Amino acid sequence: MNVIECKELSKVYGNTNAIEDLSFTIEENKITGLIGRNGAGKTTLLKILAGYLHKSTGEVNVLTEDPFNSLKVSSNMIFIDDQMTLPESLTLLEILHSAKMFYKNWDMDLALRLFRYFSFHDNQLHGSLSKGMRSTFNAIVGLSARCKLTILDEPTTGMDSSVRKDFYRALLKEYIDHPRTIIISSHLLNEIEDLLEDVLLIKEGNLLLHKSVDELKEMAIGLKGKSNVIKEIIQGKEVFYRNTVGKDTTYVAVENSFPNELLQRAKENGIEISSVPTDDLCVYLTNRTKGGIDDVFNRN
Amino acid sequence: MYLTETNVLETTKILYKYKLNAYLNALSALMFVQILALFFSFLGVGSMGFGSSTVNLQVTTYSGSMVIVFSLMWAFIISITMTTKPYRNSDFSFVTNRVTSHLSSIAFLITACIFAGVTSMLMGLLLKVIMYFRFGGEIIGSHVGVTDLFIGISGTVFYLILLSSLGYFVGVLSQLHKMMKFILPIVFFGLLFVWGPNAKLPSEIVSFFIHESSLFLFILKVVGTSLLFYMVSILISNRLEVRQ
Repeated sequence: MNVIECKELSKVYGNTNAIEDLSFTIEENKITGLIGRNGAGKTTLLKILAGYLHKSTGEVNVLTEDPFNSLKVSSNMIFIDDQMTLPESLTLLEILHSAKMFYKNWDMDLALRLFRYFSFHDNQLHGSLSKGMRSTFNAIVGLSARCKLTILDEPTTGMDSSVRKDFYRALLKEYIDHPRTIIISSHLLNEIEDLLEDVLLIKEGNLLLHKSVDELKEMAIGLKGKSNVIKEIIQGKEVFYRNTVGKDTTYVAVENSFPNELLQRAKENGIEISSVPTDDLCVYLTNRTKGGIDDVFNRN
Repeated sequence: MYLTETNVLETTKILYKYKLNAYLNALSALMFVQILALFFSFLGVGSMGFGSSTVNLQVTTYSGSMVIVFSLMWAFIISITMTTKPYRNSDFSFVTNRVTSHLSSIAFLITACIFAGVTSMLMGLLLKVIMYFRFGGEIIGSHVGVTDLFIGISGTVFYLILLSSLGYFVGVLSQLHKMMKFILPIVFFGLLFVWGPNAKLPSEIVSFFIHESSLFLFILKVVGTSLLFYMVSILISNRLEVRQ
């Protein structure tokens, strides 16, 4: 079953397109990473899926329904980010008990164990938490709700690295015990790469690719060597990134579609071959220019 | 995880319970407002005096109506507040759609109005008791029967609901567009100028409610008007986005 189906989905704010013609489907019980730079439209897309915003054009189905004003979607979906609004008059413990009323799959035992582990106090107020603590608390709500669709919009904002690691581990354990569809948005892929099955990469509101992490790892290859040799090899190939190192050495990340003997020959000609880390590849793909920030300073 | 089923009624009930818990501070604001009004009432709402060479008479009127007026303002403002972003967004942190969010808010407001109606009538009684101890003397015709109290409370409650529905409508209107926050006051004060002090329409609207001598008809009028305000509010905001 497809939990999410989007067809040519667009969202226009005034006269800018936040997202444009997105078409993709997400299957049941997969963890998908939504990766994109700041302002790429990640949050807009997630808020449309959550039924907070409405689409401008196209089609969107979550659990086979249009999410806007759908109780079915709302009761089987939870949207977690650091701006979650919770009543100021309720203590953290009261908020957990309120959440329990709303979500039928809610696991209070898990919620309380995580609550104690991250050393929250019963009578703390949500408004008085630090940024990282607030994200942690929201994440606890997100995990304990055990919703069929769990949307985490940059869930680790403000968390320190040990809490982040704990959170990812908790997420994975929860997922293994109780599989569900999870979407995590982030601008950093390397941290969540091991967690993800699929990656959805968007750039300026457009879908760049929707692939499994394994495919993404195989997608590109890094070549480093004499500029003129490199130039010859990469003819006709798609270049994701090009950087000139020193006087006459070039590093390129190109599509991985070379026959083996060609690579062998290149190696003999002194070309270094390496794999391209997926997070680097995502940065290359979402860069606006082929040379990154260097292009700004390259005036020739 | 498995899919769960829910419906409008069930979700509204849960949201209503949630709001009773979370927005209890609206009632503490009410208590504050009413106690403040009670203090103002000590000053008396009206006074007159006359005298001759031998007799000097000073009449000061004390009335619990100040408490009711303050409560009416509270009902209006608290209803506007319920339509503002933080309140709407906090519903959407959990399970809701726009209809259930409105229905539960309205149910909460009506509950608060009933509470306010009862307490403001009781405050009126309290004022009488305080006046007795302050001035002493004999109290003539101050007996309040259960029927009177009941009529007083229901009248007050329905006035509160009327103001609350108006506030809710104004609140929803101002949420529709950023500019509304400027347009609404301009329209309101503009109309005051256009109508002038002797305009018929506003006073007719007020007397439509105030000069209704039958409690039943009055309740009917209020219920009809409030229903209209609430329903229009729900209809015009059903496409409103949250968490923008």
